[in-house]
Amino acid sequence: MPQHARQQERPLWFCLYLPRLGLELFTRSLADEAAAKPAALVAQHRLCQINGAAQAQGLRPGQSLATAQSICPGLAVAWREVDREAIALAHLADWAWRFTPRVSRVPPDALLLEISGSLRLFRGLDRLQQQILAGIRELGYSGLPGMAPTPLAAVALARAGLCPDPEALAAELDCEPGLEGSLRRAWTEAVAKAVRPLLAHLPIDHLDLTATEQQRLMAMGLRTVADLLRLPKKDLGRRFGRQLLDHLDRLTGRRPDPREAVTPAALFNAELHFLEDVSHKNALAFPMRRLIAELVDWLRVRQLASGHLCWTLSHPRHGDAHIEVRFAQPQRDPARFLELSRLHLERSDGLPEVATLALRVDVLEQHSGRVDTLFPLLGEEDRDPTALVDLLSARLGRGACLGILPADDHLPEQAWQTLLPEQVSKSNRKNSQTVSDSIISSRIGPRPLWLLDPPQSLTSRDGRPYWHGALTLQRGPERLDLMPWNPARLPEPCLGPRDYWVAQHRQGGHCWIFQNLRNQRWFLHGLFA
Amino acid sequence: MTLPIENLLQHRHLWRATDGLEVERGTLTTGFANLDAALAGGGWPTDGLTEIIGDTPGVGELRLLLPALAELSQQRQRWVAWVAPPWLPYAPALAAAGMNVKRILLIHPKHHQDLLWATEQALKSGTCSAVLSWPDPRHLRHSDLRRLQLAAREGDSWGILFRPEAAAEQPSPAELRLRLAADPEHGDGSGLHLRVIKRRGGWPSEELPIRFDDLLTRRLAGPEQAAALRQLALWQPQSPNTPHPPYVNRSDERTDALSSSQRAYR
Repeated sequence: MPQHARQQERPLWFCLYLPRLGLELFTRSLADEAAAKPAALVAQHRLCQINGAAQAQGLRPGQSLATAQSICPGLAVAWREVDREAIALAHLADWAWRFTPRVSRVPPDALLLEISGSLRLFRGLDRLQQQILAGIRELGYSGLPGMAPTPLAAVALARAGLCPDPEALAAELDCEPGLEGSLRRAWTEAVAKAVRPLLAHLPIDHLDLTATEQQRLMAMGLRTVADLLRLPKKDLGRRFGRQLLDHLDRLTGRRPDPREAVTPAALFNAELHFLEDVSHKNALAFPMRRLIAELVDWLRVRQLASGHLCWTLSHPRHGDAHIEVRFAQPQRDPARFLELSRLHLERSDGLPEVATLALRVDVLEQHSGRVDTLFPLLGEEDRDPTALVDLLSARLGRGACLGILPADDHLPEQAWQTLLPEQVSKSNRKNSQTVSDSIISSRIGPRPLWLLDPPQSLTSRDGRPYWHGALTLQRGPERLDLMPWNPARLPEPCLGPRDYWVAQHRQGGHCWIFQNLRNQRWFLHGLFA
Repeated sequence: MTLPIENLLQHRHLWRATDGLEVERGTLTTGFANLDAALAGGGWPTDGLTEIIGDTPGVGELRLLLPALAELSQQRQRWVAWVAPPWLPYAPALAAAGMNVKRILLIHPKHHQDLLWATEQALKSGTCSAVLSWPDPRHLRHSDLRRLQLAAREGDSWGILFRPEAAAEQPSPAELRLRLAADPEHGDGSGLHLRVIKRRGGWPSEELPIRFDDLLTRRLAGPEQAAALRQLALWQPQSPNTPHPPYVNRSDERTDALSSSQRAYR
């Protein structure tokens, strides 16, 4: 029975241990060459995590800050902040959700992924591990793998740096690749077999025990897990209590060890912290690119797109500065995200110094999923026309770019409307062409191509209008009247019934003028250009 | 024995005026047969800069371009951008002339540098089929024109610059330069006089008369026309020698000129 079969499936836990999470929170905001400088994470005036460059200089975790700085004067120092590490771990759990739906956090610095169900999708454990490790490296973290049939064993092996090599296992493995069950079973069994000797030789200080427990066990001459398992359970329980037995049972899989899976975040929110305050806008280019790459990746996995990015620059002394970047159309093109974000950053006042850069996206839409044509016509349909609008509005300001549409009104002032270009493209679905067709029929007079908004008042002599000299009336009149209920935003002199004329001015051009019959005043309303 | 000049004439980069007007690049018919005949490739060069030169507002500069703009706006998913137009393009009239107004993008830069930047970006983006721009002639330099011409080539876009009469004497890298003047014989708005100052593969042309056929030129129907003429008679000038202040129009100060002329009337 399938139900029964599923219960018998053994889980396979993959642990991603991040030994330098606290330090890498800061160094990952740097481009590669800058990351090669010695850097250390400091808590209570002692080094707790150092990078490779610092290690090469002879620094070791546990040294006091004063010692470290005398050995290596150029050492960049970050102060440990546990809250930020927790946030980063949650963010990483969200990221790891792409590999399996069962991701759980092991605070402060590890993630657990139950991957038995993903083996077929990723075509084997070896490939899956490669993808996970490459992905975490891409994010600027260094991760160590661990895998075992139980979560505790996976974490302990990862922390000890003992991990069965899936590529070696893959070489020995022979299974039908087409059958999901057999692939899964083969892998879980292979891992279980490989883990047994590793676990037996695991030193007990990698187990999640209290310091006093560990000291007592060491004092008894117990060094490895195998030593512990060899003792009678009853006696072990009497000396160390149920907790140790419980731990051992969960480690070896004799007791179930359920883990709470994280729920993926509904919104994107990521931040980058800087090792040293950034005082130059150009220096934000790399961190911006990194966050945008994360965002695009996040959107891609969820089949989403966004047209609204919110950047926050913050510094403990200078407060926060917000930069909003809007796009005419939701999208997820990293190059355009970056280009416009940089343009907005250059225009903004920003902060004199920046300690943290955050990117938040809370307006999300389904990605339209436009399929690229196999042979796009040269430079034609493959470019998104809204890109230009975004670029122009980023420098000229929102509202400097407008679309224009005819409106359904007989009054020239109200027969058009300006809209933001994205609204115009949305109104594509409505058939607004018919509106203009109904307005411009053969029954009504000519309409100018240029409209003066508002109408320009003309001087007149002996009742004749003047504009660059006397105007010669040629055609008309065409009478238009304002509806009494018309809530027009017109200035007082324009109100009233109008007689429109086509008139020629002395230079030979033609204009569209009207006389307000209520006050006999002349107005220039358009030019037949 | 071949003469050196013969060798030189074989060179494929050498163009001789007697060779005619063949060009390989894209052109678009203007909608006016006599203008098409005068232009290289039989139409507007839609991947370069065209200058429309003239001082008279409303002489017919838009109507000249409109058949081609309408065609461009209908056939491709690209913008027809208007950078800093002096007045508002009137949507119902443009739609009536066959233009797809949804493709119109109005761009209002705040100062001249932004205007040039916006024009250049629009031209080279490759998402505009045409870019109409009204630059400030006081600040427009030759190098700016050159940049715009290159941008137009790069983006396969038709750049149209509107410049004052004074610019006609200055050299320009534009593909095509046209000078427009009102037609003194047909005062009814049915045409204009055009002179090609510069064109690809040709010398400056003689004056070309352009005839429009649109709502402005079509006569109203009989009875309505009669009524109109009666009304018109009321407004005819009493004496033909009414003195007028001199007509000032420098398109860079167009709005200033208007208000100053009004002030002069008061």
